[in-house]
Amino acid sequence: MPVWDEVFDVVVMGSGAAGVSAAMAAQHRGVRTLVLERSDKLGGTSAVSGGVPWIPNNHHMHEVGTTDSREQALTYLRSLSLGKMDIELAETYVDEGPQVLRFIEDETQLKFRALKTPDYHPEHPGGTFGRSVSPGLFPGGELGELRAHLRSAPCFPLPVAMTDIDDGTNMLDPVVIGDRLAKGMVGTGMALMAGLIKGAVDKGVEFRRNARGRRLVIEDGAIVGIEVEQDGRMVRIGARRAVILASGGFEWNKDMATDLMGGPIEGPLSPPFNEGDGLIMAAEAQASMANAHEAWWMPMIRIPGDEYEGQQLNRMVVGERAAPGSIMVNRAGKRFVNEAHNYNDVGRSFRNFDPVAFDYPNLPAWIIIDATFLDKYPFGTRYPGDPVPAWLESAPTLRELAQKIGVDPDGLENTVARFNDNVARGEDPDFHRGRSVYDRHYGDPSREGALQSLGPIGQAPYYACRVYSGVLGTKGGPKINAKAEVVNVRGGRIPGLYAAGNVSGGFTGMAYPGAGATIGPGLVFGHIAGREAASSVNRF
Amino acid sequence: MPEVEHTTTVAASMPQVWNFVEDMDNWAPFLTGYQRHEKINRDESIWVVKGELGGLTRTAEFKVQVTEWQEPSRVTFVMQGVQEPVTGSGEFLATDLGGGADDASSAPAAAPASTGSWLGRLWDRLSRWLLRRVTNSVDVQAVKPAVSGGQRNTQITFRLNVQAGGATGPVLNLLLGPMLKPVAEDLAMKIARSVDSPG
Ligand SMILES: Cc1cc2nc3c(=O)[nH]c(=O)nc-3n(C[C@H](O)[C@H](O)[C@H](O)COP(=O)(O)OP(=O)(O)OC[C@H]3O[C@@H](n4cnc5c(N)ncnc54)[C@H](O)[C@@H]3O)c2cc1C
Repeated sequence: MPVWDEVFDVVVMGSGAAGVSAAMAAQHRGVRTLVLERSDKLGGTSAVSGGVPWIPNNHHMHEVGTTDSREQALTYLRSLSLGKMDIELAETYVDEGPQVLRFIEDETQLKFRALKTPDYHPEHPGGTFGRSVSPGLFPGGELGELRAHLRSAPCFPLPVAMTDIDDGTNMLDPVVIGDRLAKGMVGTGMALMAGLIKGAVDKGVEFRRNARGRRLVIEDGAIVGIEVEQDGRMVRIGARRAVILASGGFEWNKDMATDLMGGPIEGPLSPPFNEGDGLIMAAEAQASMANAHEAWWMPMIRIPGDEYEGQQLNRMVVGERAAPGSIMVNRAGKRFVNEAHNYNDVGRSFRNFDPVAFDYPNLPAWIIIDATFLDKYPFGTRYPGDPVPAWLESAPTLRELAQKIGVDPDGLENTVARFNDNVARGEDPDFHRGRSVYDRHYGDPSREGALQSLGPIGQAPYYACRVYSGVLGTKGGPKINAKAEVVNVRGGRIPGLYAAGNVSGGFTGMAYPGAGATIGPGLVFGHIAGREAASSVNRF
Repeated sequence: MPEVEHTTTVAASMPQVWNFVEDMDNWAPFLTGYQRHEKINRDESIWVVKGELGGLTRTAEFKVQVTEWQEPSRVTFVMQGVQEPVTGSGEFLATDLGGGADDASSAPAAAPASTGSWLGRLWDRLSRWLLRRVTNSVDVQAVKPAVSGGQRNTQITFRLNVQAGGATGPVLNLLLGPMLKPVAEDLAMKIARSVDSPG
């Protein structure tokens, strides 16, 4: 056995939702657990997120007047498989999800509420709403000295919860927000992670920041520890029962993204620490790789001058695509997708390939809007009434706008003319925008039917904003079984190695079933990994 | 309106202080988040400043216009965000304290206009909370500039108010107010250090 600097029962690599869920489940069973985090902040992408998990058949669904069942949830998931979903893991997920959510509520101060948000393909068989749940606000001060080390969410700088949307809370009301700030409340993903971390700390989990897992210690094919870069030196930490990989995806590793992704990624939206370390370490241990070419796709915009962790911040675009009076066009000035549909599947359309031109015709892409849109709806960080920022290209005519941004002017004029004609009839026969409940959910609730998402573009000046092919995170990596054990290239398990969250081969294949469908599996398979690791035996 | 006032005493005469402050090149880099500035003429300048909020760093450009030069005791200015709906104004005041004072103090005097009101109280709680966040400490000690005996002292006061407008203005102002205080203190302290003349 190697010489260790330290020994724990279970070592978890990564402090996002998957890692902390794993650590809590392990320590809950009385085993000494350590969480390693390579950055100096805890929480990972999970902390910068909306903090919403998607848990089918959860016990909160009745609160929003809906019901679910195992069969209904699986019917829905199967409808999104196209042969790419790991159905065995999908079954595990649906079976275990509700009790993991209950465990988190029982063992932490977090309380969740079901959201009215529809699934991302609500009209598919088994589709519904209420599977997405949101934590409420969390008093950050509960974290004590760890509060200063909780990762901040650059896109959600104010203490708000997704439930505020359902409640109709004015999230820009200074009285509401001022009171929350004064109480030290955190919201969205920060609330989720503060609650989980507090729960884990209370159980006795140790957290170590600036500690980057580098290499698994392998003996006779079993994982017995991990080499960690800590404060500029390497330490060897023994793991009597298991190492759990929960280090997020590889979206910040340019080489891996180029080699593994089946198309261009123009930028990640996660903090810049997910460089695929877990995948590389699992590969060294002979892990089989699953779903390696997939990611949680997200169209994004860039506002010059916005930085996070020393990198240009990439921002998601959701409402901007769904509100009436916006379209997205490619270089030819043509629409190419139902812009208002879910970001994962819209994001996928950037990678459409033109075999004759041998090109990705939908890159670069632009959102086109007009003055009416800007009068009514927020765009990026700009709210109605604010000065129009320079990062929105503008021109008095569509033709000039097209010339300015390098888009075919005839194409753009024809596209807008056709779109407006169709909008006047209240329809979008080209891409069926506004037909799905999903499209309307993110549109304008003051309008009716498809017009919640459809509106004409006709009031000068016209504006354009470049949209990029982004990812929230990749979701391919070491293949896991229903116990979250990592499977080797021959199909057997790798003793002592578990994985969960974006580092692992995601069971969802190509799909993003609903809001929270990345954190949900992270929490559930993290929990399973921690539980199973804890119930294995000490090897030394 | 988020407003901050900070007063400190420097061991230098008013003309010495004025000489230093009059030329913005002398103290511009002392401003927290300062990136660069460009003087258009004696009264107008463009400032590029980097600020951090919730981990997000935003680089913003401001147009600053001096509205009054009253040598050697007072400068007033107004400012306007070039891209952002942010406006503000400020004042620099110098007062002769006479010679040899050894009771030099550095007195932070954050004074939101509405102290006493609910907003004032809220402001106070927010200030303390944000200061702890920014500085990661329980209390912030204003640094006293070294004042040497037997020479003229000048009290300098900065007053700055910044107001975010637009739909997000009211909530942004909640965050801006407490952030101004350490900025003003830091600027005053650095100017004081630079101007302080050796005994
Ligand atoms: C703006 C935004 C909003 C989102 N909203 C939602 C939402 O509401 N619901 C949802 O389901 N998904 C959402 N997502 C996606 C979601 O946040 C991620 O998919 C999910 O959080 C990934 O969880 P994870 O635990 O696998 O990884 P992460 O949360 O990324 O955690 C991985 C951690 O491992 C650390 N790490 C990496 N390498 C090492 C190493 N070698 N050693 C030690 N530590 C390491 C990283 O620094 C990081 O802290 C959102 C994403 C973004 C960007």
